[in-house]
Amino acid sequence: MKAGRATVIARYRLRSGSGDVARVLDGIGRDLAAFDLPQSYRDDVRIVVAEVLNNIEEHAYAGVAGKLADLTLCLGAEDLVLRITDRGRAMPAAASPEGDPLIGTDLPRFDPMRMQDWPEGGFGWALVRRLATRVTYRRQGGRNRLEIVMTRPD
Amino acid sequence: MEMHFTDHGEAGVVTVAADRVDAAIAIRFKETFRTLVAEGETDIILDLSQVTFLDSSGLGAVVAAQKLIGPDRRLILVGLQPAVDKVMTLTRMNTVFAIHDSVADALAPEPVLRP
Repeated sequence: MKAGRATVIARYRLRSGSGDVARVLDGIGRDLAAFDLPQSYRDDVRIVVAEVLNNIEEHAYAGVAGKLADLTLCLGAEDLVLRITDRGRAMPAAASPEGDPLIGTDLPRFDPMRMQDWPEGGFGWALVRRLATRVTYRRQGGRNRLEIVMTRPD
Repeated sequence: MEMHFTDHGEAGVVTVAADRVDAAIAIRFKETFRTLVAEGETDIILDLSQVTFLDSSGLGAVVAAQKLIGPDRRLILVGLQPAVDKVMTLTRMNTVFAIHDSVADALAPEPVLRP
């Protein structure tokens, strides 16, 4: 691959509630295995993609099956850029990633001594923020558009 | 998703015979776990050594599993593979669970603390 020239290495179209998420994660594992990327980074990408796609199914589409999402992986010398589009509900303003992974949603707070309060959810965006370099959200043309940049390790 | 239970006396071992615990199977995970362990009284060692991927829903299912057996029984996690360990660590949920490398380690008697 030419240095500095980013290339789309994979495109996926998913239907919600169909098991496509797991198949796509397996596909991404294979897509990335063709490049000189450590397993740890490939795991990071799959974790980010899983959380985003799960959020789309659960929140953008409110659990309705059969709805479309599109995912593109664009690999450059410095980073991998994920672009995910869906046609579901807009992300509420309070939950928007705002383009800076250091601002906004954080891990759920809880008292470890109170087991009944241990969180069973709400981890997704915090995981994405910790693994991605930059997250950008736009609402355009009735679609949610996420762009997630994941810097490659040295 | 398959899960089976073996009785080791002081603890029961629940082995997850699946390569992923994710949003698609989280509900089945909780229901199957409940079926296997709800009646017992011992700590439960959850063997995740075959699980190579766990998302935040899978993590939620593990937390639910601990809540299911209640505060008097510990859920002990063993065999965390790299991606699973990463999710546990990034979410800091590795600080609320006992985690061991293997079932044998988890079953080993607690060392006696010397003054």
